[in-house]
Amino acid sequence: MISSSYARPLRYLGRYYSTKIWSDFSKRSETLKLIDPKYEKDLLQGINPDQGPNSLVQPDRRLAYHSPVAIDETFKLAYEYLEGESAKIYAKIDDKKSVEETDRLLVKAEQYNPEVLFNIENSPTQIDREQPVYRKYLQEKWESHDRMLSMQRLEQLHVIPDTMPTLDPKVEVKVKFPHNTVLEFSEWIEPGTILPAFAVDKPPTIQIQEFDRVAENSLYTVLLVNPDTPDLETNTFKTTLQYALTNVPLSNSNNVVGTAKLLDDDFAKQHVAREYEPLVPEKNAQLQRACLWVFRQSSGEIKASIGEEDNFDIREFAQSNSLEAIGAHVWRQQFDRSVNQVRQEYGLPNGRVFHRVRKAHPVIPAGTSNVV
Amino acid sequence: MSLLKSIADLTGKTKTLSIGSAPYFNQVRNATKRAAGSRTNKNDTAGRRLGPKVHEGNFVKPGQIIMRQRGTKIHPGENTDIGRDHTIFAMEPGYVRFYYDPFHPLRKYVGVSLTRDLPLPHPHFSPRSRRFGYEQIIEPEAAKQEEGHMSRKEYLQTPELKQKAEELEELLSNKRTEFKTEISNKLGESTENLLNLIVERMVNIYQLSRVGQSIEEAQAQVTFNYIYDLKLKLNRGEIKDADSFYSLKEYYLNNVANATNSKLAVDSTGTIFDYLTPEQVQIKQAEIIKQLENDFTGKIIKLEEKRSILNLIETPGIFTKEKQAQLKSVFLPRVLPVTVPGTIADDFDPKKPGKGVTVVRIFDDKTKEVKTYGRTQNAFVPQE
Repeated sequence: MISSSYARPLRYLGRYYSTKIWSDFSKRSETLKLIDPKYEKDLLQGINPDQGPNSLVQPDRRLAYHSPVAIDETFKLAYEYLEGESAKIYAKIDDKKSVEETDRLLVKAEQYNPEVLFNIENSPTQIDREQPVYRKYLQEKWESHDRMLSMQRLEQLHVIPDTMPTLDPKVEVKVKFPHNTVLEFSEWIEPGTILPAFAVDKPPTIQIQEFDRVAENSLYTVLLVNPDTPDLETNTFKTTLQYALTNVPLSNSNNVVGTAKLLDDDFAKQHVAREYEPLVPEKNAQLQRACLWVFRQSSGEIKASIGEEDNFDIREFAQSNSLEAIGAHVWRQQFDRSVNQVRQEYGLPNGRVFHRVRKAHPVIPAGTSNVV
Repeated sequence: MSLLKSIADLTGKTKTLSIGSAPYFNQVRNATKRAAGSRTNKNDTAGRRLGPKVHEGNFVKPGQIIMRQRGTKIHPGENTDIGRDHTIFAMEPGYVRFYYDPFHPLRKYVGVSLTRDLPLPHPHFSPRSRRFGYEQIIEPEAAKQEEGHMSRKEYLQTPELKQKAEELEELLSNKRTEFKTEISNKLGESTENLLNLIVERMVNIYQLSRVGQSIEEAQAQVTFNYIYDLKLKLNRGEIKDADSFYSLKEYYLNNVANATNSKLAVDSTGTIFDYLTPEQVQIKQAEIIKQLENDFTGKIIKLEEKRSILNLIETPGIFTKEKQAQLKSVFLPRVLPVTVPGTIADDFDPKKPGKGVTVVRIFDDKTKEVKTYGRTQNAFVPQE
């Protein structure tokens, strides 16, 4: 212990004084180190009494900070015990273990490392997603809120079963439209949000976060469908395909399909199976759902091109290409004052206009004449 | 048995008397109709005509009553609803179906199926069958009028939205003129068309950096937007053919995007500055912080020093807004610490501190006591 001149307990241990497993980066990844070196001394060696903890911004608050009583003895005891346990787990890892078993052990060995915990809490966007322990904490965070919210929206807005029969979510799917210059629309979109047409008039950025270890060059398919396109012949709805990406290689850390990738001509040629076309709901055609589905391609590359048929059958497409649905997202749109401009940009004809009042005409079964 | 026994008794073969088994006894309650009328016996009402009003397979219109009942003998199923007195009525036109739902095995349901051959309940995992129900307005004049129709909410919001759009347009056009002179100074001679393209690009980058994108992200996004718009123009037929599309794209990439990316940058306040790579920015950050620590820490801060500190912290493109705020709180405190020489009055009477001396009482952590200081004017950083 540093003998301090006054009664502030100081922490005195850590990397520079220990040669044990959590200070050894010859076998462990460098990304398990503290990301922001500013906090390194505070966390592992002790808080400088003249400066206070770096995590507090205001100078007077810093100087007023006191550590809990006997924090050093407790921290040291706990740190050494946990580090010892971690070393025991690392000793079990060898080449004979399967990938899943190795990942499980790696999580176990690092899950109480203070540096790892500090990183996941304070720099969640910068962590290395190739490390199983970080993915474990990301998954916990996702399951505690975002997964529930997204499933709630998918069920209550009947994305399930109007598009795909059901979903067992395996990945976190995030969507944003980064061309927007208004903060309201440029951030990640909460599932179910109603967006104006101008906010979606360029292709979205999609983040697909896998939590299990992903094999190199795993392929993914992303489909954006609108199950609410009016079908006046039958007085029902049909499903139109608005955007399709196929054979997209993704990994745990390389998990975003966004502007940078779409700028690349080769990527666009190889993977954009259907050019993006935003939803342009017509006046009084009510709210329409843009349902974005993410699939794992379980049987390799998709070779068949997507047909131009009027009514896209997403279930049939998924089955015939043996696609496994692993995540989904939804936003909604309705007619607004920017729809006409977006239609013009995309060279679409003027939208139809419907009566404001819903009529009592029955559904006309497909293949029958208009006489009921 | 008892009959046999009684016969046996009669025949006199046995003399025992049967006691345990009682004879059959049917109690008869006779009608007791009151002779005279009574006050409470006249409450019979007419039948309420309950029951189903349409039957399996019948066609119903929306709102048509399917079932009248007391309580829910039958529950409302698909495309039906239930009224205040448990009357079940149709919500959609279609064919009536009475059915059981596997999710509620003890209930009977009535629903309306949208087509004649569709059974109910609809399979749990299959898409719902839904009716659109809106009719197209064919007449162009009426269609135009309906399209222009606003909800009350939209109508009330329109002036505010319009004003905001105008304000934004004014801001951007000011930025355009401002950027134009600055960029032409920085880049030297260039054609009017090229200059306009570069100015538009910088304005777009400025807008994106206002919503928190880094300069590199914003540059990529603006390039993407331009090429995407070109592609849409090609699809619309406003660009002749693919060749001219590619030549326009190459021109933009070479002369506008790549030519300016490494030279010009703009921050969220709309200041144009020379582009620095992320590594250069890091070096510059360290330099500035070092300079702040060496030149301005532990010294009296007058208005002049304050300005140079602010200039250093607000050097365009170096620190984020949050970091700037943090640096300001560290290097530009409202009151300087007592350790700064020249900020403490040596001789002063706490009761009569005299002109230019402010009495301050501060708790000292080391000695655990409250100390009284007399602070000179220099202890307070001048506020503009």
